[in-house]
Amino acid sequence: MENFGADGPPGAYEDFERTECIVLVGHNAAEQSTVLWMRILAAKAGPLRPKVIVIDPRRTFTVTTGADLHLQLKPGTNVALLNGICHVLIENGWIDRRFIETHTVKFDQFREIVARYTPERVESICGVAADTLRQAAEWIGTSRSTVTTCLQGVYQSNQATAAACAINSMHLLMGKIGRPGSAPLQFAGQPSSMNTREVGADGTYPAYRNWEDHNHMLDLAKRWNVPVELLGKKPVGAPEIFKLCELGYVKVLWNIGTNPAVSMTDRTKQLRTLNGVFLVVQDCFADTETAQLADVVLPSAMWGEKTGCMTNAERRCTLLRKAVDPPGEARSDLDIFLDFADRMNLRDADGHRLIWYTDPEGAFDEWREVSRGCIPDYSGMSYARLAETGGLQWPCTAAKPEGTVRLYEDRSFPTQWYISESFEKDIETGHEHTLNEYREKRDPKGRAVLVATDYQPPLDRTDDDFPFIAISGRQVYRWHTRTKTGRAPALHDAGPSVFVSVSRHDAGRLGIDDGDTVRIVSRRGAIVAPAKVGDVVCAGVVFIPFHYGELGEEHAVNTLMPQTWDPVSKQPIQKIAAVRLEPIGTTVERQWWHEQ
Amino acid sequence: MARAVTRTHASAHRADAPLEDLLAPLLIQEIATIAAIDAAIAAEKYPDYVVMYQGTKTGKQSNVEQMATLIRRLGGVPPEHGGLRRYVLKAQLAITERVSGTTATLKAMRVGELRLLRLYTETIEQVDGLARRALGKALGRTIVHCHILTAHIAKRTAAAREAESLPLPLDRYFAGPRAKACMRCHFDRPGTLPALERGDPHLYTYVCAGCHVDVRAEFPPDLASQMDRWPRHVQDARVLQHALGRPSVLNAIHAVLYPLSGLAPETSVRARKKALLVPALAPPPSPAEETRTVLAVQPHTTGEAQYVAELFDYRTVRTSW
Repeated sequence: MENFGADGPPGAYEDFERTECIVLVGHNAAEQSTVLWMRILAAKAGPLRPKVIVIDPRRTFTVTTGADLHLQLKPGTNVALLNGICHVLIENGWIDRRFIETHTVKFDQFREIVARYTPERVESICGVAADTLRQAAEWIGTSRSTVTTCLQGVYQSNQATAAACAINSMHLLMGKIGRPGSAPLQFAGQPSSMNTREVGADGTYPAYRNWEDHNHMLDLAKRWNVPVELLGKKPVGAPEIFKLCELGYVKVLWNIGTNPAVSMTDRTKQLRTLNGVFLVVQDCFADTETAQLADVVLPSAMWGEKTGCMTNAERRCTLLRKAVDPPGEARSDLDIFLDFADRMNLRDADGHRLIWYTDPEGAFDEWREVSRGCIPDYSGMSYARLAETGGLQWPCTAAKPEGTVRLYEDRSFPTQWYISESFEKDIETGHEHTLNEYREKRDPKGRAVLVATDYQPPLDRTDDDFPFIAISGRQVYRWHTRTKTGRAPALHDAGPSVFVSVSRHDAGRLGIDDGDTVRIVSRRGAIVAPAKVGDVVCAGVVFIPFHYGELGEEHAVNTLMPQTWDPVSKQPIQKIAAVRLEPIGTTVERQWWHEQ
Repeated sequence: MARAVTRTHASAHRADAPLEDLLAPLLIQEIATIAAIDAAIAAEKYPDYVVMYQGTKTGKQSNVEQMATLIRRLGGVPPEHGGLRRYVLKAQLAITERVSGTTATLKAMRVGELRLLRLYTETIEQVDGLARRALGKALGRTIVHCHILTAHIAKRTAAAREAESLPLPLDRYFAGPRAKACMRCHFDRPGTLPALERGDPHLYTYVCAGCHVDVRAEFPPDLASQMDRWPRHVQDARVLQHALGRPSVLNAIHAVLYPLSGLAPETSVRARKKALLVPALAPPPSPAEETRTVLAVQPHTTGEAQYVAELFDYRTVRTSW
């Protein structure tokens, strides 16, 4: 958004087959995106044989199964490393000066900042050898096309938005955007994340409308037939909502389809918070850790039990039909919302029912109208067309009924003040320009913005008491907090319990053997896990999967993580905590990771 | 009427009026005032004042939502249109701002607020229960807003009469020589730390000295204990981020703006804990007894085939954990 004026992944999955270079930043695709990873592996065997560069603090399954180059950086140093790559690109002239001059702004500022990140300095910050960085930059800069993906290793790490912007800026420098095989492709953890970004369920307004632009609000108010005066509120992100609960300003929390009792950072505090609010949990499982703390549980249908649409990381909307009825009293989320709206007697400005539709197709038709003319335009889609085509990519309009494979092919970016989703947020504080400031001083008028930020170390610092950095991540056999995968025996057996990965170097120094029980202590709390000793992480770093967090047990890595969030995206920073290891000295009976 | 459950009978001429009728003038006036604020935001050149107006707008939206909910729960339809007054006020504010500037806008806003103050004061006497609590909140916000406007007018005009109408000396509201609006508390309060002000190349941001002190005290101990190790500009950025977030802004409203408006500080009431922390309410999710299903995957290349083989071989994948 800060680069292009609005959200929306610019590329498409087909770009993986049409590129010469693929860069995965904080994205363990082999475990997170298995189908995509097979596609990448197939592309590697195809005519273009793209180089695959992985930027990750761990030697992940992605690295071992398909990387040509691994930049194993220190946790939380994405910005320094990406600045270093941009430095080498500029130094060697692997940039598109014509594109920069015609389609971007702030190149001089950008160059001035990244000039400070020589490969040698980056090596001292990130721990990545200067020559390895140069090699990566050469592959990126000299390939005719590049696709870069990123995921939670960027979004939930130190300087999250700054790093995401650096990736976009790297592509802008080379003019590698809006053409086949070239795109920054900012993934979402799951399609529902894409949907909430677009429809506004995460505190923003539908279809990338700008809360500060009165005309955007006026347009929405007309389409919903509600007073414009009630719209245009500054969005409040999820971590702030939990903070408001903690402080007592929010007394009722309606939690839908997520499990914050395991997934929120500074978890001990969050459990107190969830215990202190009137908690309504709407979920298809009544025994999640969060549901166990609920005052009211609204049983909801899960996929296959309801009809609806999902949009994936290439902006493709697909229709999912209901296959079976939900069990017991469970109802679809939509039915629950409609019932709630009726009971709340929600009306529009003319006294008619505010929510006029009664089924998923009606809801989709309403969304098509709300998005019409906006950046994520769905107006050309319908249930019939989605069923017929198997999915369409937005923007999809009457004029472009087949949808749009990739954004920005015309080199025009939605940064004009009257289109932009936001008026440029300060990367360090999240503060936004006012409309007048943006219009008069900053409006790039359809050009993209090159955003560079200086590296800042993580807030939770290592010291003598907490000398290690703990990072978290996922396993291929688990999904989120195991609410689903914990019920499948095969998946459960594949990764039955929490562990902590420790480097051989650190394990030797601390006298920890493989399988020994270790207490991991941060400034917020402690957990206990068996040590898995190996070469996956570097010295000074430990890794713990985030899936585990049974109530009453000390397994949740988020117990260790600080309650901080990115100033712009409001994503909780779940990947960095300073910790110490305290060997308890007992060896667990079963080292399951050695078993078949 | 049966549905007027939260109404008292203090006012004889309205004793039979349903709650909907009592709240309608307030709703209309509040919405009209929001429309006027929107006009002021569009015309205002000072970003700190825009943030102040946005904060006021948010408070008024809460007032409207609470009153509208009261009406809806009784089966009524709240008049959320603002009436003709919205157009009059909106035009008035827009013209005032463009022609006469910020001070005149503040004065025009105060006229509207004083009208609201009178309406709330009259109406709150006629209701009790939930409606009284909701109107009490709205009245508090209105009193606060009146004081914010008056203090700024006093500072900008140096009018003694305005300053004297405030509950505290003017220098408790403004530490500096000219009127500035802190983006957290909307005043420019004194404090033992310097005010934080950033401009180009950053966006204009301002947090007063008083809020700088208050916000630092809001950091949780695990981060507060490390702040001295962060570079100065990182400390400042983090304070600004925290100060502009909704939780800290609400702290400022309740702990700072209420007392500066002559009201008792309002402390948030945390709900009573429902149960002991981390209760063993139920066993953790455990695998169901199911038949294992073998998935058929058809890789097309050697790389894919190898990946799939390793994917279904737990031991191999686990070497990457």
